[in-house]
Amino acid sequence: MSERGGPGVKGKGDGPESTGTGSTPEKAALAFEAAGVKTMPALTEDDLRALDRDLDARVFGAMQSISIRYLLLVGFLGSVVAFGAFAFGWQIYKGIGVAGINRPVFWGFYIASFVFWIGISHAGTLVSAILRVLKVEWRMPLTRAAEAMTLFALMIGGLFPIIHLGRNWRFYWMIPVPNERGLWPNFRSALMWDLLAILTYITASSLFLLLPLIPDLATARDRTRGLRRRIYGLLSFGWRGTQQQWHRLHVAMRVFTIVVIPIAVSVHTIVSWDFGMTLVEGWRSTVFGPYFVIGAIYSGMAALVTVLVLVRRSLQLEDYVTLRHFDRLGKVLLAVSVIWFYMFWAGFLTDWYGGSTVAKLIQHEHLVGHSAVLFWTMMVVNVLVPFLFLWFRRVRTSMTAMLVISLLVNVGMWIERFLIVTSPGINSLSYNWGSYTPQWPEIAIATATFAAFALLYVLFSKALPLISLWEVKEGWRVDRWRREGLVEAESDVPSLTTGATAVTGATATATTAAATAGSRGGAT
Amino acid sequence: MVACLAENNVGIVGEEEAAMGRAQHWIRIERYWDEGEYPEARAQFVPVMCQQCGNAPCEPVCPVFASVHSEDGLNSQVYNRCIGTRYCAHNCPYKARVFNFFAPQFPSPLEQQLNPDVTVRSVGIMEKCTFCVQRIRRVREQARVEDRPIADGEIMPACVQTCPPGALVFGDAGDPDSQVSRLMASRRGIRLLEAFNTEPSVVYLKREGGLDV
Amino acid sequence: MRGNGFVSARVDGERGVASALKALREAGVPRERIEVLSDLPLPESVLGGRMRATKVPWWTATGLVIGLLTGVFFSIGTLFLYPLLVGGEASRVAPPNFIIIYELTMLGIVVATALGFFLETRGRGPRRPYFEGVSVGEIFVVVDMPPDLVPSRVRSVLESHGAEPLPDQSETT
Repeated sequence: MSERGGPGVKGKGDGPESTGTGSTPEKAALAFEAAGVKTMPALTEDDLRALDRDLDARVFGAMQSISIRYLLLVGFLGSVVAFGAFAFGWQIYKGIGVAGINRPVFWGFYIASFVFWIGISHAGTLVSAILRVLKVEWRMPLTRAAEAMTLFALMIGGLFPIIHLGRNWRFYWMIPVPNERGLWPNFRSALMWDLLAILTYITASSLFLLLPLIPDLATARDRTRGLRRRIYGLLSFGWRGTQQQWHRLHVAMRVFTIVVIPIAVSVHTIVSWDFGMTLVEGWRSTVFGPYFVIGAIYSGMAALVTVLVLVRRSLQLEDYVTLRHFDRLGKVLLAVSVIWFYMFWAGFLTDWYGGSTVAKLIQHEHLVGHSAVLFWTMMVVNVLVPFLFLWFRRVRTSMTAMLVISLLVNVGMWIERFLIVTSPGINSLSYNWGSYTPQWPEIAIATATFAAFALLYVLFSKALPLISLWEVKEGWRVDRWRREGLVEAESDVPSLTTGATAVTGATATATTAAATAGSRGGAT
Repeated sequence: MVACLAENNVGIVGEEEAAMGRAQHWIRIERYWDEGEYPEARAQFVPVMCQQCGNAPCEPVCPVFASVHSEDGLNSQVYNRCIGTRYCAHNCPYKARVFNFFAPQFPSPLEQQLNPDVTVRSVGIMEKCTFCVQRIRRVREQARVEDRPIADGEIMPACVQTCPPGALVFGDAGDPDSQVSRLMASRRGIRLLEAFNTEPSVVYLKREGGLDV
Repeated sequence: MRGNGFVSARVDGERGVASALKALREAGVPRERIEVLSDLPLPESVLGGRMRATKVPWWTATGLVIGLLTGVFFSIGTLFLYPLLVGGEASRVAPPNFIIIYELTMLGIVVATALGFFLETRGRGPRRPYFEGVSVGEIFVVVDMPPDLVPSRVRSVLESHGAEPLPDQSETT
C-alpha cells in the first residue's frame, strides 16, 4: 500500500480508471475482521456488475495505455538484456574460457543461475495448482501473475544449460532423435532427465497459463480493434463462452492442475539429482531431492511476493491484490523458511557426523573459511530474517518490509545454489583444489537474465490481463449462487465472498472492490 | 609430462591460464608433503592420469555418449560427440579430465610437430589421457598383420617410454604372465581412492612410488 | 443434420437463462441445439444439468498411453538399437528408465489434453453467432434451429419468457 511505500510509481501504466485506491477500503476490510464480523453484506447482481466493470476497466486500461516511463523501462531492461546477449556472443566467439570456470570448479555462475531460475518457476505451480487443488479461495487474483512467473523463469532457466555448454552450438545433440549413425542420446545421464523434465515442465506450464487465459483473451479480442484484435482472436481459439466450452475448460484444467504438481516436484528433484547422483563429495546426498524442492518453493514464493508488490503498485491493483494476500503469503514464506532450514540441517548434520574428510573440509570452508561471508549471509537472510520478522502481521502487511524480505530471501537462495555448485573446489585429491571467481561475461549474462525476466513481465502486463478476470468474477458470484440455491454449499466452485471469508481471507478483495464500486456509482 | 604433451597434441595454455587451473596436462605429478617442515618432511610424488576405471563414473553421466567404454576396457572420449557439459569432469574423483576452455594453441614451432595420429581437439570439449590409444592400436594392427600375439611391453605409452628409471610399467592385465600382472598382484599395490569403487586400472606400488598400468 | 439458421436472444441473469431454457425445451428444442453464451461459467443447476460431455478425458488417456510408450521406447528401446557400454554397468539398467517413462508420460498427458481442448474448441462446421456483449457480462441464448421448427415461433416463445430476441445478424468470431 502506498501509505508505507514512499513515493509511488503512479505514472507508469496509469490507466484511465485510476479510481480512488486510497487506503480506506483496505482499512475497512481489516476493520471487518477486527470487529469479528463473519458475514459480508450480501452483494446484489448490480453491485457485482459494477465490480466487474471496475476490474475490466483497470486491467484493460492498464493494457492499453503506454507511458514514457514505461518505454524508458522497456528500453533500459532491453539494453541490459542486449548486453547479456553480447556477452554470450563474445563467449561463443572466444570460447567458454572467458567465464571464470576452471578445473576443478567446472560449473559456476551459469549452473547456479540455472538452479535458481528453475527454483523461481515453482511459485506459479505452487500458488496456482496447489491452491487450486485445495480450493483455496484467496488465490484467484494471484494465479495469473504466478503462472506467468513460472513460464518466464523456466524460459530463462532453460537457457542456462545451453549457455554453459562448451559447444553451445551443438546443444541440439541432446534432443532425443538418433544422429546420422543411429546413435541416440544417453538416457542414463541425469542431464537427459533434466532435458526431458524441463521440456515437460515448460510445455505444461505454458499450457497451464494459456488455457485459463483463453476466455480473457476472448474478452480482450472484443475490446480491441485492428491488429491486436486479430491476434487476440487467433489466440482465443474461437472462444464464444458457451457453457459447453466452459465445461471443457474445467475438465482440461482439472487434468492440468493435478498433473502439473508432480511435474514441478519431479523437475526440481531431477535438477538436484544433477548433483545428488554424482560421486562428488559435498554433492552426493539423498536429501538433495526434497531439499531442492523446498528451496525452490521458498525462492519461488519470495519472488512471487517481490513481483506482486511491484505489479500491484505499478498497475494499481491494490484492491485486488490486497494486504490480506501478503499476510497469507508471509505466513507461507515463514513456514517454508523453517522447513528449508530443517532440510538444510538434515544434510549438514549428516555430512558433519558422517565423517567424510572432504565433506567436512567443505563445511569448514563454509563456516570459517573463504566462503564464510557468503555462507553466513545466506543463513542470516534465509533463516534469521524471516524467522525474526515474519511472525508479525505488521511486517507481513507492510509492502516495504515484504519487498525487502523477499528480495533478501532470493539473494540467500542464489548464494545457496552458488555455494553448492562451486563446492567441488575442494575434492578428494588435495593437489587439485581450486577456487572460482566469476568473470564479466558470467556476471553480465546472469544480470541480463534478471532484466529479461522483468522485461518479459513488463511486456506481458501490456499484452495480456495480469489478473484472471473470469475466475475473479466467478468467485464473486458463488456466494450469491449459494444463497439462491443455485450451487450446493459443497460445490466445486470456490467463492471469493462466502460467509466465512473473514476467516478464509478474501473479504478484503470483495469489500474493497465493493466500496470502490459503490463510491464510483455515487459519484456518477 | 612433456612426452605426453607432444605425443597427444595437448594444447599449451600459458602461464596465466594455468594459474587459473586450466592446464591441459593429461598426466600430472602430484606432490604431497608428509607432516612437518621442509628439510625433515619428505615429499611424495604421485603421477596421476586418467585411471581408466573399470566402473567409470564419468561414463553414465554423459548425455551424448561421448564418454564410453571400449571393448578393451579403456574409457574412450569421443571428441566429436562431446558438447561440453563438463559433467564427466565433475564426476571424476581423480580430476583427470581437462577441458578445452579455448581452442588449443600451439605456439610456433610446436605446430610443426603435431602428431598426425592424434586429433587436434576443438574448443569446448573434454579430453583426457587415452593410454596413448593410437600406440595401442598401431601395435595391435601390426601384430594382426604379422599374425602374432602382442608381446609384453611392446605397447608403450609416451610417459612409460620416456620415464628414465622405469617407474611406469604398461601391459596387459588380462595376461597372468605379463610384468604388470605380476606387479599388480604384489601386496604393495594400491589404487587411488578405492572407496569410490571405480575399479581403476592404474595400480600404485607403495613406498617405491612405482606405478603399474 | 442441417439446421435452418440460428435464433438468438439476450437473457437477463441466471434466472433468465433458466426460464429461457425451460421454455425452449417445452417448445420442443432438443438440448444439444441450445447454447448459452456467458463471460463466466454458470452453475449447472441454472442449465438444468450437465452440458454435452467433452472428449477431453479421452485425449488425456490417449496422451498417457502415447507418452508411456514413447518413454519406454526412449529408455529401453534405444539401448537395444545402439548398445553402448558405460561405467561398467550392464548396457540395460532399470531405475533411470522410470524417470524417463514418468516424464514422457506426463508430457503426453499434457500435450494431448491441450490438443484435445484446442481442437474441440476450434470446432468445425458453420460459423455460429457470437455477440460481443458476452464480454461485458451479458448472457445470450443461441438456438441452432432444428428443421422442424419455425424460427419466429421460437423467437416469440423466448420473448414471452423475458428474453430479448435479437435480429438474425450475428457477428462471427
